[in-house]
Amino acid sequence: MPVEVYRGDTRTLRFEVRNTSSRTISVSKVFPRKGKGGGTVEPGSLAPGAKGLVTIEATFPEALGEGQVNYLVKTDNPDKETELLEVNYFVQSAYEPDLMLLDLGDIHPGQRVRSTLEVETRLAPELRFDKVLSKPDWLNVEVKPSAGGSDQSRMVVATTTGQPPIGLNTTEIVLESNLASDRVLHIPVVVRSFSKYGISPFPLTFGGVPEGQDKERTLRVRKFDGGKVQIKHIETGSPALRVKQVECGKACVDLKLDFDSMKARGGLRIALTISFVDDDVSLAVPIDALVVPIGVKSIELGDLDTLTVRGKTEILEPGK
Amino acid sequence: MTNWILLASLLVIAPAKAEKYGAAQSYSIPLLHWSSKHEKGVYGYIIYRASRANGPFLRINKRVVPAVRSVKSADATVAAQPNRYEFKDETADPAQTYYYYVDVISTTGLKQGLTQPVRRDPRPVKN
Repeated sequence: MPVEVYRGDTRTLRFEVRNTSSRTISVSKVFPRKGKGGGTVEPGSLAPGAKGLVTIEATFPEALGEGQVNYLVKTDNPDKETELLEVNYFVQSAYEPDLMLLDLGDIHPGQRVRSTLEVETRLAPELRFDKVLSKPDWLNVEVKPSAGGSDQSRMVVATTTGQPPIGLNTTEIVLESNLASDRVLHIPVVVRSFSKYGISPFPLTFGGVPEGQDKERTLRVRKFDGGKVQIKHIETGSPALRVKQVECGKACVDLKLDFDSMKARGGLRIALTISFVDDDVSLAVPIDALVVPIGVKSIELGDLDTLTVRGKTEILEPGK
Repeated sequence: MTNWILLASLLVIAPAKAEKYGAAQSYSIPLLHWSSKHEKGVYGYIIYRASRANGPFLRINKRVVPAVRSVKSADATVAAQPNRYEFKDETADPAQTYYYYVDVISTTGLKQGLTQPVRRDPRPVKN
């Protein structure tokens, strides 16, 4: 049976061991195969047939679900210097939704954006967030009672107070709750911050591209004030990417991107940079593609992020 | 992404072994039954209880009720059989009315509703 824990939990695990060899074995070290932590063995030296106790102070990854951590027990046994201790675990969240995201969308100068997310627990009759442990400078965070009036729910309200750095911002809000487990809640925050121009999608992915084939995607560039889009230069960052500009109405240009998998065998992970005649701020759009070698079957799974619950986002001061 | 489909999700509450409660009357301990099939990707089940229909509901099983993972047969007739589960609520006051519901939790740690709340009234045991 796996060790069931909540995110951030530590556990003291004890394993009884017995020396089955015909010589005395001393244990010099107990340590995890990956990451920090360690353990002890009492007694440190085991006579043939003697029993000992391995104690491990185990920490577990933040990622939810099943996993395994392996600990190595270093001994002076010449036949087998290292013994392996496998610890299966299952990480749960104390909150609902299990996966959450405050996606503030696109923000332009002068705009303020607010995103609201309801967080709930079933581990206590009341949920409180007593402290905001960290947040970005450009974001105000408030915790309010839930709309339904349940003491087990709280509304986390994040409102921009200024313009985030231009580009894609991925950060988080860290709150401290009153719960005994999973006390520190990390809520991811995403915002795409633009100057005079906005780009969609941002970032852009080609997904899997079979080796030898081309794939096309479109990046839409819009001018925020409704004026003409004036692109000065586009730096693709890779010879595998060709770009063609196509007008798409007022204040709009589509960039037709053609990815040639033969010119990027391993795949693509670049930033396409667009500079403008009338804006000092250039935009760097993260772009990725995975080239699937011939003979490898691949299935396009689409958006795997459908279980992430996003906050309700609204623009408080709309721009043009 | 979840990769299970819950086709049978029935929660019924039946009397369990008689337990003495108070001087004059015995009540049965709440026993929860449910069944589920197509459990690929299911780690187990979490049970919640409240004294009132509108909550607050609190998780009552410290450890997840593990899903039966032995049903991995490619035989459709075996896979189509629902797995049956039961949970005896030892922490309940048998003389009190409760509301229960069950969530399923996936091997990736994501919870999802399995049943609606069901009311369970005290059931006197006939001696």
